[in-house]
Amino acid sequence: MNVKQAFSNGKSVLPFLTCGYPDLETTEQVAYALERAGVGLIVLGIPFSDPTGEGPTLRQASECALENGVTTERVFDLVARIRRNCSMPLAFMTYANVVFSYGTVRFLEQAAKLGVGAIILPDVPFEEKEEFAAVCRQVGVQYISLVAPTSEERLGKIAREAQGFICCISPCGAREIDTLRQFTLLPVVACGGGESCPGQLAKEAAAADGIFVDSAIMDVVARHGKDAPQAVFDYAKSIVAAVRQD
Amino acid sequence: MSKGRFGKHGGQYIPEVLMDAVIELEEAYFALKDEPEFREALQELLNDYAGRPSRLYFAEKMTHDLGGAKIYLKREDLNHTGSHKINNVLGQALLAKRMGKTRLIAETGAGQHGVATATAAALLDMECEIFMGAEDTKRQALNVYRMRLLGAKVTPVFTGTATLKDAVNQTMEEWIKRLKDTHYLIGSVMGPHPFPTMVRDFQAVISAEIKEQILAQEGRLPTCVLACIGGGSNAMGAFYHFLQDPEVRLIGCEAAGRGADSPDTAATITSGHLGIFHGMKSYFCQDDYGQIAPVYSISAGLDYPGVGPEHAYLHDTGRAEYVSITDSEAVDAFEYLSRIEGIIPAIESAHAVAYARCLAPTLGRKELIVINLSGRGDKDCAAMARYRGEDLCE
Repeated sequence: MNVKQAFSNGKSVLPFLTCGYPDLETTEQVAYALERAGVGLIVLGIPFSDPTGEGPTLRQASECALENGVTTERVFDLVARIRRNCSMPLAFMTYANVVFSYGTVRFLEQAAKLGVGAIILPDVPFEEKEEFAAVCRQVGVQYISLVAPTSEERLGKIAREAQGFICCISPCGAREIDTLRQFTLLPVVACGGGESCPGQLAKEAAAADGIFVDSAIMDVVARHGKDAPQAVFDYAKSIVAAVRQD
Repeated sequence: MSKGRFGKHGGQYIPEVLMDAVIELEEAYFALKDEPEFREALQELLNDYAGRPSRLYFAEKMTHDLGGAKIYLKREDLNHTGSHKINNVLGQALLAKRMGKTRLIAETGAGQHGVATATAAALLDMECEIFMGAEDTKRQALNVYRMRLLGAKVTPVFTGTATLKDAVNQTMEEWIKRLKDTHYLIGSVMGPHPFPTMVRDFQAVISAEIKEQILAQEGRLPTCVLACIGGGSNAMGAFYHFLQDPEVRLIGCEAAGRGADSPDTAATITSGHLGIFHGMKSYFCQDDYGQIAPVYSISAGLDYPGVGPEHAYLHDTGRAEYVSITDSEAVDAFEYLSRIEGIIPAIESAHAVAYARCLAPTLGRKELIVINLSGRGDKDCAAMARYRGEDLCE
């Protein structure tokens, strides 16, 4: 599934979901709720034992999912089920070791087969990306580059080799987004940075082509547990409305 | 291939947000490391403050008792703060100061690296915060007090297994929050480039001295150099200047915990697999899906699921050998060295002493073994007493 589609309908909302929290069935239902709410692309997180740099919600979600026996294999099964009922763009987000230990080629071939159009690896910077990006090109999965506040030179270097879209991580702002646009025509996505208020998220997205909602959806899932799908639907809808309106 | 590779190992697998900081550090390190002024300042601190060079001591009673190779102890335990950690800490702290940083943060397992970092921060007037697994703050309560006494803030880490790997995670996160004024003073030959190279360079003083001292005392190179290995900084320091001397066997002694084939182990090279974690590609204890394993060793300093990338490479090429030592062998060696030589080794270093006890009798009397005694064992006395069923109040 081409990730371009995520940006074909105005400003896009890209929510993050930890697969298997509180259980795989809930993740599946939440994914359908997000599609109905009109988000552009769902970022499916494969849990990792040591999610460095993530806040308490995502850390607990990962821990809990792993305790419940969620594995890479089971996440693939989940995506296969989701794909039977939903055709929206999907991306995987996980740590390098999850992909590497599964076998980078084997992992990315499987992702491509399941119709997962992109992959985001937060612990792989520009300097290390080829190990993964080269395989991505072979199998037809977009390797998504993340950027942090840095020099114009580095932003340019990253943007020129980017695929799919570029994801700015917190605390990037309009300066980074504007700079990136000098070097690329790809969509640029801002990051929610833990923000949960729809109006605020819309503001973060003002200069961008979309907003990556990194933890706010998972906060709702954590609060509602197995009853999360309805609550997520209502909440995601309000984000989509706010972001489109802005 | 990216920078800082040892064969296929090493690299810089870190979030994009840290890249500018490690590039800045790399540039500063390579610009300063051969600058005469920096080298002099560091040498002066190593000699006058830390007490270098450390002695190479002929362990005569141990040699006779084991009835084989002649045994020498490289007395890193006699350094100021009680271990080899100070060598690297003084180097990095001076570097950080020259880079204009005003705050040092560090992870610690047994507390030795935390104490050394807190010491350097006090000496160089820098702010200091140490992250330590909550489990380890219990095992090493005395070191927590020492760090506080030296003016450092000690933050217990409750996430994950609440041990060394979690302390590394949290220190990394803290660094991301305050890159401008803060230097992350990594305590071992691990993490993203340039740390494995830089920490090894700062620790290489150990093997430079061993070489000079053994040539002066024996007129020849040692048969074997033994060192314990968690992340591997004291071992890398003890091996480095012998890497080009193929006749010298280099042996790293990992912590097998309750057995290298049991789940309660920290023997990474013996039981781990190639992976990517904590900024580097190397060997890690992990499950089939790349989830990092909760490791175990009686020694908080060796209780780490990974190993420095240069060790992984030396293992691949066969230049160094890696063996594993159980808790019980290490505790026996801790007591053995205390009684036979009157030297209480750190429980980490006792892993190397334990292997020497197996190895020495198999070698002839003309062979020479050097054990890098990386730290002193005062910090471990309460825990060892508890291991033997004594209820000791500190």
